[in-house]
Amino acid sequence: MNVALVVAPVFDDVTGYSCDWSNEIVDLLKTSYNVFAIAGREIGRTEVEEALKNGVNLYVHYGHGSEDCHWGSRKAKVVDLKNDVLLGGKEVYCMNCLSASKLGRDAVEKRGCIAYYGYTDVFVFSTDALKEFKLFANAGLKYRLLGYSWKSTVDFVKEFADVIVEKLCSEGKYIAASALKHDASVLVCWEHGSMQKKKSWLDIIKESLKRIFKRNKSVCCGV
Amino acid sequence: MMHVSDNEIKQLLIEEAKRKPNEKIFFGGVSFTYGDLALALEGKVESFSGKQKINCLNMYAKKLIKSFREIHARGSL
Repeated sequence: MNVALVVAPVFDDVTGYSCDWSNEIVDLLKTSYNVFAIAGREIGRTEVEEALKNGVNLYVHYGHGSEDCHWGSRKAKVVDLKNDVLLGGKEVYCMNCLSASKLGRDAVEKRGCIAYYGYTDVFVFSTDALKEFKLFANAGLKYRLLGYSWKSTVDFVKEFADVIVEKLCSEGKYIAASALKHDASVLVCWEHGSMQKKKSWLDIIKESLKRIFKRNKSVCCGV
Repeated sequence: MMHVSDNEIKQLLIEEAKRKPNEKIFFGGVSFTYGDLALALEGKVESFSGKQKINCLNMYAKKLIKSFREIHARGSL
């Protein structure tokens, strides 16, 4: 049977919510995986590293993230660019801020990570719609467990987010709706071959110049 | 579709934030009450201290407005 490692530390208000949301995921994963959960407390780097070495196929992190890491406590980076080789050959599902932007890219591009589902910007949520944010945060794994590809999973979750956004708007919860829309827009799943290359500054300047020339040409031609 | 200005979007968000000032919004690890958010959207962030927090809240308020504009463009309102 496949093995899933769920890491969901608790060390502040936010991680209190995210750990709570991860409980549903642990129960769902038990139908298809041997689940090893480290949750509900501050978590150290070594214990996550050791756990990742034990035949894990799916690694799940719920909590705080930064561009280059997953946090286990205020001080401990449990996974970062120095040990992300441990993500090689694994699928990764994150409900944390930002980590898909650098760590996820690195893991897939350089370390052989199979798929990295996560967010490229901060994950925003509000207390007046906790149920809806939990639904959104957990939706990806639910689709995945139904057998959909990672690409389809992301597409479905974004469509599902639009449904939740409409519901929130109909209830007058515009702030929560805007936050959830933001989260959906920064959700990605990196897989080999699916990543757009990051544009260099030179490329960005070239594209801007092309746009300016094109616009000037249009103006000159009276278009 | 009817055009909605940033000011109209702000007004809608401010009204909601003022209706429930004690609710919280978390931008990653940084939290604000809806009351704080209303002040930021009204441009009255000098009312509470901490320059870093003010910059942070202003930046996030802009993100919310941008997302709200996308919702409106999609016709969800």
